[in-house]
This record gives sequence, structure tokens and C-alpha cells, in this order.
Amino acid sequence: MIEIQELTKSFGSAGIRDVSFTCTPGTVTGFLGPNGAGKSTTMRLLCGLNAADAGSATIDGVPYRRLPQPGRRVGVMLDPTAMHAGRSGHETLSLSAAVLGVGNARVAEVLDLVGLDKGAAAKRVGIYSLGMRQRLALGMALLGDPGILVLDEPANGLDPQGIHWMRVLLRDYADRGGTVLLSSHLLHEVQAVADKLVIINLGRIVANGTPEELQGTRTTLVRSLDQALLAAALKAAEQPFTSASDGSLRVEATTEQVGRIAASSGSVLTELREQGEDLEELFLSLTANNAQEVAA
Amino acid sequence: MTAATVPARHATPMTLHPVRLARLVQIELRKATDTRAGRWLLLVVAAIAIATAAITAFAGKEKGHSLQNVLANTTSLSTLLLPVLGVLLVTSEWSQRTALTTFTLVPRRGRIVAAKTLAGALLAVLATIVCVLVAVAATAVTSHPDGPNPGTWHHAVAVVIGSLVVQVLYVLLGIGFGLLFLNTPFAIVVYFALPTAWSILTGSVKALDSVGKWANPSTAWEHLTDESVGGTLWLKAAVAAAIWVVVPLVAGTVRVLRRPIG
Repeated sequence: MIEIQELTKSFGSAGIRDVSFTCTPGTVTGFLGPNGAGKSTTMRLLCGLNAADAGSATIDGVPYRRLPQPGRRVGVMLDPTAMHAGRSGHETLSLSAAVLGVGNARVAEVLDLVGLDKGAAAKRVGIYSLGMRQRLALGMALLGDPGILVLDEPANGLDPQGIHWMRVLLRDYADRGGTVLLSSHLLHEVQAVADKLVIINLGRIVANGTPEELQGTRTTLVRSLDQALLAAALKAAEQPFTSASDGSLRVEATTEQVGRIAASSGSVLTELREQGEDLEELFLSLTANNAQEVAA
Repeated sequence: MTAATVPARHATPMTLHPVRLARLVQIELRKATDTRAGRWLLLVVAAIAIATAAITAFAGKEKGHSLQNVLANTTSLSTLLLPVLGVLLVTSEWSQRTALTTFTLVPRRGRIVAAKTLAGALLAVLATIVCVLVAVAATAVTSHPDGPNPGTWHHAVAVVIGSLVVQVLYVLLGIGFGLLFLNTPFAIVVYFALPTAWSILTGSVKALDSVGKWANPSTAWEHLTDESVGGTLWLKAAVAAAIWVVVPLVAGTVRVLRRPIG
């Protein structure tokens, strides 16, 4: 369980303000926002790498810095490029394993889990691709067999197969009772795996909820051979609707209700589907002022 | 890669204890030796010790040999390199950006600082042991065939202890500068330039002359390897150690404890 309450940290005019959200066991929380919105700042404050001006961040009720062996409770991946170029992947993991008090067998297990074979693990991290570093960094987070994962932009640098692989791994981890907090600046990277989305912009939380909740009121999109006939029937049934520019009608009712009205009026439907607010559009509209801010 | 499943253990015991300091020291020593750069630096320290001992013993005037002067030469070059080793023990975490992992796994930063300090001191002890063994061997091999020169082994224990103290002080000085600047080239340049600048300044201003001698580590500590270190010399050495070792270590530790990481 991760609990962040009114976390505030200012860096001049930037920083984060009153950031609050919770990540519960068994769920994946997608932490979304444009670059520079405050995702990494929040995660670094959570992991005790920086001190907050106000507010609190706890892991199972305890501030990170007070955890006796944090790596056994929280697996953290903040920057996969922050590794010693002169050490091999295997040595990098072995050093962390020594701190965590887990054996070399666990190192081999984790290398296998993240898909780094013996040859790759023996090479120096300096020649790794970003994707390989990403895998090694994820391995580092998993090394202590923690119940919580905090991952900053884990999909960065992974190819489509790699992204799919990570999605499956994280879904599986959460389904087994793990808590996952992962950040991204791309909605589609987290949409498929996240149970909950927390959207941050300019250091403030602008949306927080399940994808369904964020999509808000659902409307029905309907198209028929004779739209005038259908419109008259909807009017008669006192069902509010709007006509879209593409000729379809959007009705504030369920597909079933609209279907019944159409049937009773004898309308021939060519399209009938539920439509929520597009998450992509929502994400873009919530974070739109960021671009203006940068331009200004 | 196909079976991308995380074993559902998560059975982490609630009674976890912080990592013991001894283990952190062990890990820091491993970090100092598990990269090519780290290994080469240690090998160079050892190689230079051997070379200077051999040169002093064989090329110097035969009559003048004593453990004291062979050891003084043997350690003189390693006292140049040990501060660099101390600086690197700290600053490599920032230049290679591994501080992020280090302090994420051990958020009580003071423990890492303590472990690095102890690891550095141990490496200085090790370097001294190498220097002493090499110097003893070189002195023994080249001592006069009719029996050793009466002065050869004079005050051997005092000389060895003095060398040990100086070597440890130099590595701690490096660690202090490393903590203070967290930047390899800057810390090294400041370490090499500051005492020189200090002696130029104090040498040119008469009133500062005696202060300069007290506060310059190389002049204050060089007598620690003399046969008879008197009270004033120890005091001088202690003052220089306070200025060049204790102050940077304390200020640098405070900086690392407060500074954002990564």
C-alpha cells in the first residue's frame, strides 16, 4: 500500500503541490502526465531521495527512509541509465543482492525473469541498449521480492514486444496481490494494464480514478437509414440527443433504450454503440495548458 | 521470456533488520575493486610502492639505508594516490550515477558514508602493509654484507605506525573532499591545488608563515614518520588533520545527508 497525502515540494516556480493518491494491493496504478509534470519528483519524494516541503508519503504506513530494508518491501526503478558503465549486468545485480541479503540464486532467477541471458549478463552495462538497461533495472526492482513496485517510465526504450512483455509481467504481479505504481507520459502504454489512472499536470493532480470513472457519462451513438424518422421518435420519447457533424445522433441513454425506441419507430439501424469520452482526448485536454506554459 | 511470471512469494518477513555496517563495508570494498578503473588504481598504488622501494634500496647510497628512509620513499607516492582513491570511493557514485541505487537500497545515508570511510581506511591499511613489506624486504636485501648498519632498523615500530597514520589520514582526506564536492575532477584539483596555494600565500605573507606550516598537511604530517615524534609535531599533525580531514568529512557528510539524490 502506497499512501501519498498532500505532498508538496517547490523548485522555484516548478515542483508539485498537494499531490494525494493511494495505491492498493492487487492493482496497477498508471501515473500519467507530460514530461516535467512532476511524476519523477513525486516518486523521488516517495523513495526518500529528496525531502518534501509538506505532506507525507508512506509505504505500508511507514515513511520510506524508516523502512529497515526498503528493497525487500518496495522495488524501485527510477532511472535505468543510472548504472555503473564498468560493471557487468550480473555484477550490478549481485551488489544489490548483497545489500538485500538475497543469494546469488535469486540473481540468476531474476536475470532469467527479465530475459537477460548469461551472455548479456556477463557484458558491461556500458554497452547495453536502453531496452537492456530497462530490463536490468526492472530486475533490480524485483530482486528483493518486494510486494510493491515503483517504476518510473518502465516502457521507455522497450520495443513493442518488450512493452507487451512488461505489461503481462506487471498484470500478473498485481493479480498475485502486488501493488504497482508506474509512470508514463504516454496514455496507451499504461491504459492496457492500469486499474487506476492518476493524471498530473504542472505539479497538480488533475484526474484520479478508474478508466471507466474518468470516461464519465456514457452516451449512445446511433445511425440509421432515415435519421429524420429516428430523430422524431427520440423527440416523441422525450430522449435528449444531439446531432453530430458526421450525421450520427448522440443520445444520453443506454444502447438498449435507444434500440427499443428505434424498433418501435421502425427505423433500420446501421450503427448502435456505447461511447464514453475518449481517454486520449481527456488526457490531452487535461494536460493541454502544459504546452502553452512551456511556450510562454 | 515467454514465461514472464513473478513468483508469488511476497512473503517478506516483517522482522527485517537493517544491513549490518560490516556488510556495507564489505560491499564498498567490492565496489572499489570490481571495475577496471578501481582495480588499476589499486594495482598502480602497489606497483609504485614496489618500484620506489626497489629504486631507493638499490640506487641510493648504500650506507644511508634504513627502514625509515626506504619506507618514507615507498609511501611518498602512495600518499599522492590514496587521496585520489578516497575521492573516487565517493564521487564515482555521482559520476556513474549509482548513488540513486545505493541510497534507494540504504536510505540511511550516514551508514553509506560510514561504510565508505571505513572501507577507505581499510584500503589505506592494506596499502601500508604492502609498502612496509616491500620496504622491509628492500632494506634487508640491500643492507651491508658485514651486518646491518646500526641505524638500519632504528625505531622500526614507530616508523611503521607513523606511516600507517599518515596513509589513513590521506585516504580520509580524499573521502572528505569527495563528500564535499561530489565531483571527481573538482575534488582532485582542489586537493592538489589548495595546499600549494596555501603555502604560496602563507609563504609570501610573513605573519602567516607559522600558520602555514601548521596547517599544511604535507609539512605537518611528514614528521609523523620520523624516529622521534615530539609533542609539538603531534599537535601540528592533529591541527592539520582537523582542518584537512575532519572539517571536510563533517561538512561533506552533512551535505550528502541533505542533498537530493539523482
